[in-house]
Amino acid sequence: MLTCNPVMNSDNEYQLAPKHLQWLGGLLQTTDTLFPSGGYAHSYGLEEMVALGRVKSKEDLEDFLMQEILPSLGKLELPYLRYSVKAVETNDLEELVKINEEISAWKLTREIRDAGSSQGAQLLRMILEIYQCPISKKCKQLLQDRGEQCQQIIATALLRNAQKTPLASSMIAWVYQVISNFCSASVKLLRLGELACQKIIHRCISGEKVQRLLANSLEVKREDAGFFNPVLDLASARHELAFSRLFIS
Amino acid sequence: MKPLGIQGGVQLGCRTDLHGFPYLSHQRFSPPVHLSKPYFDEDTRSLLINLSCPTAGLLSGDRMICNIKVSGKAAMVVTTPGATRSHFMRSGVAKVKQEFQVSDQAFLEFNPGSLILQKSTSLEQNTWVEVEDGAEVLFVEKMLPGRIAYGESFLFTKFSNRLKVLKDGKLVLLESFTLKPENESVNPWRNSFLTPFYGCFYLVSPKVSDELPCRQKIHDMMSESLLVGSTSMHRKAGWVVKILAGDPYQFRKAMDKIRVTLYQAIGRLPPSFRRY
Repeated sequence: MLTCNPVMNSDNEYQLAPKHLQWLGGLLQTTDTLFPSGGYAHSYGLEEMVALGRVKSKEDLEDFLMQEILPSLGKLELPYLRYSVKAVETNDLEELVKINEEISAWKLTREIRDAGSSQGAQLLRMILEIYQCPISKKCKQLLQDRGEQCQQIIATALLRNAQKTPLASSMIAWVYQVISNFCSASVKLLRLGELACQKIIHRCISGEKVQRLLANSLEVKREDAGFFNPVLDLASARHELAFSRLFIS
Repeated sequence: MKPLGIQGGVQLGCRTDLHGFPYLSHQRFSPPVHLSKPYFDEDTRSLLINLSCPTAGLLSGDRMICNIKVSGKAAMVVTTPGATRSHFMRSGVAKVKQEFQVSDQAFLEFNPGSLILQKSTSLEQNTWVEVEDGAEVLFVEKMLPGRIAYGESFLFTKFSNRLKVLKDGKLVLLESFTLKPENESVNPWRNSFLTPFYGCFYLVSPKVSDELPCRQKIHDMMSESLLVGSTSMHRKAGWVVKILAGDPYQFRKAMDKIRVTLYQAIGRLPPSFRRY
């Protein structure tokens, strides 16, 4: 059972948001489903996993997320988010473009790659509309000049930098968004109820689990980053030619 | 005790002579690699090379470098007579480095036998494929999680694999993973079939940059014990076809059929590997 302990000062009055939490509002806004990230239109291979009979129930979905998706986040996406954040923080745009190129190359299937670049472009547009962010502007220009498309991980690193979100919180938000996107797709694909989805999300991002995931991901060196999921690759590849589909990916 | 090991490999250069026939312009090899006599396949005008392994596989401490360059309009096919075994290792690791450069209008197929990750083995493999505009490559990987016939499955210690494909100097594919059966890194592979055979074709060719005409045919091969899917590479450099099979017969049949289909897609004839 969760308990809530509101932060109170010595006079028993609620504190205003402390200065070191000023990034929190922006983080909440940009992880909310109302924020137009485009994620709702994608299942990231789940639709075909369901069609192949590999994910059939809420138990299967939880196993899939726990055993395949969370480990892949720890070994691949979270490390790349960290490399991107570091490049943004050090204002190293050349490095950021190189990381962007690597992300496009390790997204092995066209649909997953395109999902990353379309959501990245959308997020970059939103950053430039909402924040005063010269580095995002420069990054957009540089990618345009090179004929490259901005991957979502890169745009997220730019956004979190603009919000001054700490790395650990940015990483937890990334885990939440990925898991939440899969669960959101499963509402249509598996007819899961909202409560079932929320329970799965809760178990996936529970304190200890997510802390361990983050700690492990911090140890992944760039040359070792990667994850092997041939079934999901196959499912995503097959989805491109699927006869009928609800999702773009 | 420091593990013993062999440091060797193979260097090959292939180009065409004045009459347009492919020949080995450069060759150098040392254990753990032995080179067969090149065979010119008249029907397909390809040079067939068989790389064999006198030590019957990779052992702890082995360092193997494979460097192959194909240029001109040469077509070369490199294979092995059988599977490549990464053997039991009490300690240490075997390392394989592979570099392929294909330029002009040359063609290279690198299609070795399956890599078998035997009990307690540790292997690191790094592959670099560089393809110039107009050149073509068919790079094939096949992998088994142990000696299936002996009931050995996912008992290896560690396998790191990193593949980079560049087209005109630009990165088009980066596949990297470390598999350790002791942790969750093997879950998707292990859960796919009881005895999962994995294969992948990487085809880089300007002839199929927009569409792979045989895609639907490849996808239609799927059955209860065979998963197959194809997708395009970044920058439309080519195609990736992945296969997972639950039995060796289906796997071999699918790999053979897809190879022929991909050759047809790029307007070439597939040479026989001449394994008798």
